[in-house]
Amino acid sequence: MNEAILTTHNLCKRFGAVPACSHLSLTLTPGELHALIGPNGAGKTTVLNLLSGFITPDSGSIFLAGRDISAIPVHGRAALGLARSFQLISLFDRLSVEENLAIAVQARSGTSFRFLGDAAADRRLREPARRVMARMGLKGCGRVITGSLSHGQRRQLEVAMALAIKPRVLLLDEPMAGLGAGGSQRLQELISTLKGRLSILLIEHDMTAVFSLADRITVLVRGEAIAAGTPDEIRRNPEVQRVYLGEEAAAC
Amino acid sequence: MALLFLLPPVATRLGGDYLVSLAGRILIYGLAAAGLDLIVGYGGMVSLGHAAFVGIGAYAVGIFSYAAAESTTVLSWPLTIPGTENALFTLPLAMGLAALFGLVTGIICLRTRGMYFIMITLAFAQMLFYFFVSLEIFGGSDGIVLINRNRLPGIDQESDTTLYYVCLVILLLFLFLGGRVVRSRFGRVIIAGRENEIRAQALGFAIHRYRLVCYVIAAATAGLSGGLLANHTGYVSPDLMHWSRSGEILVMVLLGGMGTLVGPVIGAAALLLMEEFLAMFTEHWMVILGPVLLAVVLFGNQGLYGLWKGITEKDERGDTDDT
Repeated sequence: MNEAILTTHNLCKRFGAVPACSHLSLTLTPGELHALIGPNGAGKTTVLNLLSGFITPDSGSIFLAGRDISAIPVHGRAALGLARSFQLISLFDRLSVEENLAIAVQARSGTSFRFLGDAAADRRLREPARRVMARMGLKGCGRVITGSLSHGQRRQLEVAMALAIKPRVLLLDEPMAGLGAGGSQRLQELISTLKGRLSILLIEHDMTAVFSLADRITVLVRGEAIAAGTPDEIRRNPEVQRVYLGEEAAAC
Repeated sequence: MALLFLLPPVATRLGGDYLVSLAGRILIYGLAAAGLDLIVGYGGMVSLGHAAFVGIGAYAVGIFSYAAAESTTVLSWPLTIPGTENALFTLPLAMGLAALFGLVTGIICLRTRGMYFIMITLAFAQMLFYFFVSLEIFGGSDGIVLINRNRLPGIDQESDTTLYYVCLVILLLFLFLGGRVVRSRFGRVIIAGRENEIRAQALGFAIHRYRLVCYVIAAATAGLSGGLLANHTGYVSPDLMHWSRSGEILVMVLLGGMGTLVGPVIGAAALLLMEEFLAMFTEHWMVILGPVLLAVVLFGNQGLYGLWKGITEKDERGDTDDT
C-alpha cells in the first residue's frame, strides 16, 4: 500500500456527554476513495469538521502527508490542499457561478493582496474556473447567479468549489443529499471521474453510490469505527448488517 | 463630474462663499463615508466608530498647526518635534496615525461579528472621545483653533475655492483607486468574506488578515478626511469623534447606497444639504430626515445611488425597446 496522505490518530471529540468521535484512527491512501458511513448521529460530519479544522479535537492528532496539521486553522489546511464540501450547501449565493469558482481558483493562485488588477477580467482566474465548470457539468452556467441554480446544479457547484482549489484531499459531506435519482446518478458519475486523481473521503447515505464508488469503507457508530474494509467485506460483515445496513433494509 | 469642477464659480455668483464651503464639507464627509463603505458595504461589517479616525486625522493636523503657529514644539522629549503647517507632512501624518489606530483596534474588533463589532468599534471611539475631552493641553472639550490653514506648495490655502478643488481631486482619486481595489483580487476576498465567511475560510483565505487591511485602509481614508476637515473648519474638537458623528457617517453610507463607493458621497451630499436647508425651516429637521432615511433604506435597493441607477437604466432599456 502507498504511504498514507491523510491519517488520524486516536481522534476524540465529545459534545457534553455525547461522544461524537472516539479514538478514531483513519487512513486515507493517495488516489483512494474512502467512504465513511453510519446511521444518523454517528459523528460523520464531526469527523469532517475535525479534519477540516472547524472544530478542535479533545485529543488525538491529524496528519496530512506526514505533517501534523492538528493546530493549523481552517484556511491553513485548505491552503495545504485539504478541500471540503458542505452537507448544507455553502456558496456565495449572490455571485455568479463563474465568480464563485474564480474566487476558489484565486485561493490557490498566490497571495490575494493584489489591489489594482481587475479580477473579473483576469484570465488566470477565469480559465481554470471555466475548466472546472465544464468538468462538473456546469458548462454555460457561468453568468447565472448561484442562488437561482437548481438544487442539483448547486450540489454540483458545491463539489466544484472544493475541486477548484486543486486539493490533494477532497472531503465530501453528503454531496448527493436531497437529489433525485437522476441528479444522484449524474453526480455519482462526476465523482467517479475524480477517482484515482485525488484522495477522497466521502460521507454519503446513498448506499448504491457508496458501494459502487468506494475503494474502502469505514462504518461509524456513535463515534466509533466498528468496521473498515472493502465494500465486499463491509457488505458481509454481520455486525454492520445488524447495526446499520440491516436497520436500513428493515426500514425499507 | 464637470458640474463638480464648475461648482465654485457658479456657487460664488449664487450665494457667495458659503455654498463653496458647504460643498467642500460634503466632499470631505463623502471621502470618509466612501472609505467606511469599504468596511460596511463590501466587508459586511457595520462599524459605529468611524468618527474616531476622522478625529485622529483632525487632531494630527490641529496639533501640528497650532504648535507651528505658536512656534512651540509638538514634543520636546525624548526628541524634539516642531510643529508644521506643511500639508505634505500633516495630511500623510493624519492618515498614518488613523491607520495605526485602525490597526491596533482592528486586531481586537475584527475578532467579533455583527452586533458585537458595532459595540466594540463604538467603545473604542468613545474611549478616544473622552481621552481628548480630558486632555487639557489640547483644549479639552473646547478643542484647538487653527490659526492658519496648512500650506500646499504653489497654492493659496486661505481660499475656500482652492480647498474645494484640493478635496475634489483627493476624493476623485480615492473613488478611482477604491473602485480598482473593490474589483481586484483583494476586493474579491473582502466580498467573499461578506457573502459567506465559512466558505471563504474553507477555500483557504485567511479572511481575518484581509479584513484587517481593509479596515486600516478605511481608517486611513477617514484620517485624511479628518485632516482636510480641520483645515476646512479651522477648528478641531472632541465632538468630531462623538458617536453621533460616527452614526452620521454611517447614515451617509446607508442613505447613498452601500457597496457602491459613489453612493456614500451622494449620501453625504443628501444628508448635509438636508441638514442645512431643513434647518432653515425648522430646528426639528430630523423629524423629516428620519422618514426619508427609512423610505430610502426600505424601498431603495442600494440607497439613493441605486434609485438613480434604477431610473437611468430603465430609460436606457426603454430606448432600446423603441428602436
